[in-house]
This record gives sequence, C-alpha cells and structure tokens, in this order.
Amino acid sequence: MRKVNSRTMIALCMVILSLIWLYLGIFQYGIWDDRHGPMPGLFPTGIASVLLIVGIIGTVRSLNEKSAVYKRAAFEVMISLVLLLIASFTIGMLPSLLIYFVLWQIVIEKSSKRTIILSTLVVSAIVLGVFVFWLKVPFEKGILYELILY
Amino acid sequence: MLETLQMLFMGFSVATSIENILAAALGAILGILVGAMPGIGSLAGCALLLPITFKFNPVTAIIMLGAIYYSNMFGGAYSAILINVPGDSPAIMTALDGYPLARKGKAGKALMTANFSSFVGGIIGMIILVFMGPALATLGLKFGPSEMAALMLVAMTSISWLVGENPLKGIAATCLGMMIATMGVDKISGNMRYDFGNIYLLGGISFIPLVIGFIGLAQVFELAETRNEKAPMPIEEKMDIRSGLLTRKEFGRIFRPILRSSLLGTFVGFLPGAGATTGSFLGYAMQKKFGKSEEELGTGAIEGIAASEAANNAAAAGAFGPLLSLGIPGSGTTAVLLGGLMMWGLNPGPMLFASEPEFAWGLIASLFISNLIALFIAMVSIPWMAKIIRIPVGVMIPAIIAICFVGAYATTNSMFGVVIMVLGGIIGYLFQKNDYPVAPLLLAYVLSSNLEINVRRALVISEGSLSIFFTKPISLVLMLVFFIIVLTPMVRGALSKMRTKQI
Repeated sequence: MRKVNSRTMIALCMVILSLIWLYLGIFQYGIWDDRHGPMPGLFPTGIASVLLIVGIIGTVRSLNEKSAVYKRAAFEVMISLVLLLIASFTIGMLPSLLIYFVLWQIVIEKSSKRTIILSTLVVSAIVLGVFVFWLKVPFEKGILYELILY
Repeated sequence: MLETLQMLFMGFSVATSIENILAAALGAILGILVGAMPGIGSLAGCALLLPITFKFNPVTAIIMLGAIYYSNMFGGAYSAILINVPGDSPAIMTALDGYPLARKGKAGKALMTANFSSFVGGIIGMIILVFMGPALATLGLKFGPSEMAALMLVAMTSISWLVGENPLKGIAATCLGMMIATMGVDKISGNMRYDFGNIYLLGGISFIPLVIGFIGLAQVFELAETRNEKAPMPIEEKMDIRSGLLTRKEFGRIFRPILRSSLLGTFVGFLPGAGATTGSFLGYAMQKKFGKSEEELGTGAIEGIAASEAANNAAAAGAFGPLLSLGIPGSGTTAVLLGGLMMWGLNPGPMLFASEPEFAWGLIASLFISNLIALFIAMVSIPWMAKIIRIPVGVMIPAIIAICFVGAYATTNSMFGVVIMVLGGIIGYLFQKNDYPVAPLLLAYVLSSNLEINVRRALVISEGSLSIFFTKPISLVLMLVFFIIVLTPMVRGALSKMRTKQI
C-alpha cells in the first residue's frame, strides 16, 4: 500500500534541506577556485549530494513502510513546551519553570501534596543552587519585567 | 615504558588536587544516580550534566565528565538487577542474570558482583589504555590530512553501521549532523555560510543545546509515552553490605569471566563505533560459549553478571584511547565528551599527549581515582538504592524539562539556545519514532569540522585530485574499510531480499 506517512515526510524534508544546501553551496559559496583551491561550498555540497540521494531513496521506500505509532502524551508535552517558551519570554524563565513544574504535578500527574512540595523543593534547589548562585547565569527575565522596570 | 609510567605519575599529581578529586567524586555520585534511573542512560546523563561543568577549568571539567560517563556503567546495573529494567543499554546483559539472582533473595550479592566486576574490568581497561593510548597517538602522528580524513569517515560510518537496522537512515543522520555543523563561520576562509541572515546563526548551532535537545528532551517524550504504564516494583529484600559480600569461592568463580571480559571489552572499546554496549554483549556471549558456571546462564549465575559488567566498564575505559589519541569518539556518549573537550578549546588527536600532557595524563589518572570512588559510592549506596530508582516518571518528566531549559540557556545566555534545544528535542523524538539513529548525527556534528579541514587540506596538496585518498597506503586501507562498512549492510539487505523472493 503506497501511502504518505511521517517516514515519507522526514525523508522529503531531508531532500528539501539538501537542495537548499546544494543551491547555496554551488551558487553562493563556491566549490573550487583555481587560485585558492577548495571553496567554503565544496564540503557542504558533497555532503548534501549524498543526503539528496539517500533522501530520495528513503522517500520511495517509505511509501511501502508502515507509519510510526505516536501517542498523544508526547504531543501534550510538545504543546506544554511551546507554552513554556512563550511564558519564558513573557514572565521570565525561572517563574515559568516553577509554575510549569507545580502545574504538571497537580494537573497531569495528580501527585500528592507531599510529593509536590518535596519535588519542587529539590528541583528548585538544583536550579537555584547550581545555575543561579553558583554559575551565576543571567536568566531571561521576560517582557513584563522589562515593562515594569522601564 | 618508564616514560609512560612517569607521565602517569605526573597525571596523578594533577588528578589528586583537591578540586579534581571533588569533581571526580561529584561526577561519580551523579553518574551512578543518573545511570541507576531507568530511562535516562549515560548519553542523556552526560548531555544534561554538561552545563554544570562550566564553572570548572577545562581539566577539572573533563575529569568530572569522565567520572560521570564512567560511573554510569556502575549505576546502570542497579535498575537492571533490582527491577529488571536496565538503566542504560550496556546493562541489558546484566539484567539476564542479575534479576533472577535478586529474585532468589540475593540482590545484595548480585549488586556486589556487578560492582566488583565493574571495578576490576575498569582497572584492566585503564592499564591497557595507559600503554595503548600513547602508542595509538604515535601512530596517529604519521597521519597526514588524507589519512585523518579517511579515519574520520570510518569512525562516522562505523557507528551508523552498528546502530539501527537501516544503514540508509544511519547515513542520512550522519549527513544531517555534518550539514548542521557547516552552519556559521567557515574555519578555513573565515567566510559566513548557511546563516540565513540570522545573527544567532553567525556562530553556528551550539553543540550543547543541540545535544540536550536531541538526547535529553527527546527522552522526555519517550518517558511521557510510557508514563501510564505500570512501573516495575523493585525487589523488596532488605539489603546491606555485609550480606552481599562475596565468599572466596565466589571470587574464584568470577575471576576468569572478569579477566576474559575485561580484555575483550577493552579491545572493543578501542574500536570506533563499538562502545560499552557491544562490549557487554560480546563479554556475555563469550562467557556463554567458553565459560563454565555453577548455574545455567540466564538463571542467576554470578558469572554472567561478572562477564557483562567487567566487559562494559573495560570498554568504557578503552573508548578513551581513540578519543584522546586520534580525536575519534567510539559512541554517542564519547561524542558528547569530545564536544565538551572542543568547547574548552582542547583538540584531541595525535598531538594531545605531546601538547597537553597534563590534561591527557590527568584525565587518564583521574579515571583510576573515579573508578575507586565509584566503587566506594556504589557499595555504600546498596542499602538505599532501591528507593532512588523508585522516583516516579511523573516527577522525572518536568524535572528533566527544567534541567533541559536552564542547561540550554546557561550555555548560550540567550533564549535562542532554548529554542534550538526544543526543536532538537522534537526532531530527536521524530527520529527515534522513525528509526533514525541519533548517535551518528552527534558524532558527525563533532567530527565534521576536522573532517572538512582535512579533506580540504588533502585536496590542496593533490591540486583537486581525489586520488590522494587512494594512493597512500594507510588512507587506501582506511578507504577500503570505509567502503566495506557502507556497502556490507546494503549488499546483505539486497541478498536477503533476493532470498525471500526465491522462497
């Protein structure tokens, strides 16, 4: 049965990516210069040519392959990550992570109060202790913070 | 030989500074914990813990990473023995005998056998590394650009060949890794390429956010899928160190399997593309074929545990040989270590032992110390390890996500690193689901820059002729190996298809 599935999509993405690399490599960065020898486009073009061939074979083969089985839970995590990214840009990374961690325990896992408090304390201690106090990472403070400050 | 020993003693003087011992101890504790937790593994463990080494100087940082990688092998055995779920792939064979032995009420004995075998296997691997590492580097000094390029091609393709059933997907992952690595500044001409006018891409894609995403975050999606499955319960036996101690007779039983597996494992570790997992599989297989055991293998024989654990630790130690001497990582985890080394401005390869002897020998000496510390921690943690591996997946998922986010941000000090990490995680998950191996992608990413430099240098020497790769004896042999590696699975696949059609 010939049917487009996620395997086909991935192989097609590789074909498109290799075509972009080939185009830029050949026409923008150059392959060979008689005076300077190999140009910046030579190596990426060579690799992209191999990927193009492999991608085309993969696309054809994938039509006869069974689609991979996905579970909803993984996509729920992906959506939550996008929300976490947006929240990090808005209210800052550390508050977003704290809210995310607690909400996950309450809404998704329905953990006991003891588990929520204990795990939040441990993870907060790691993040604050290692990254904030020890490594002194200047975490994203978010647009709201900037608005309030200025 | 005397000179090698002198250098090793110099390495010990570096490794035994308070800072380095503490780093090795911290690495050993974290490595055992991460290794023991089912579903994380050494690759994700090293990727997630890489950012916390930023504060250290390069030698201390790599000593800690080496300790994390190495002690992971100890940790993996815990969940294999106590809940029949290997914490890491090298511990798969340990579960075959470890869990049945634990079911017989001898979990402490199984863990003690695993710890002792890991320790001895590691020591033997390290002793061989001490002598073989510099010898390999001396051989590497004879390599010109064409030989180095051919060697890197062999290293990249051998891992694709071993990982996954579909070699085409391995090649695709390798090519993709190399293409990602070409983004940013061209190291030879200094020109920009594939930056798409984005200022964040001027420096290329950072390795750490990429590896945290592809490995750490992708693992979270996998964990989320299995979240609702019933977690295996650990053996409830009360364990203490005394009841687990081995008798003289038991030591006698495991002596030969340990020795055999250690030698085999070290040899496997030195091969590009064959890491600790292959080592433990071969060690166990060798025990099954040639060894004797009181109980049948697979029913709780300590010889089986000893064979696989000694082999995987010896292979982990052996893997440092090609990594330090030739700059060739043998597995995904050692690719992460190589990425870390490069990040700190160190360039592993034939010159490393000559140009950075303090680093090279300090790291090798630290492995001995980490091995000792890991044994001590692994033994004292026996009574309470069953509680640690009971951490629910529901807590692990948001905790790993938090570490992924702060780790990716800490590396780049920008949200762009986090975005790359999230994208990498999603692509990594899709790769796993569609049978594309991720390890070759990472390996190709870290090796790509050196491969390109060597290919271009070779072509400058030969004035553009590819014959340079086939006219020099060493590069000719390596290119032949490369073609055999690439073509063997394809020919095998075609033959099996023909056979199926005939039937």
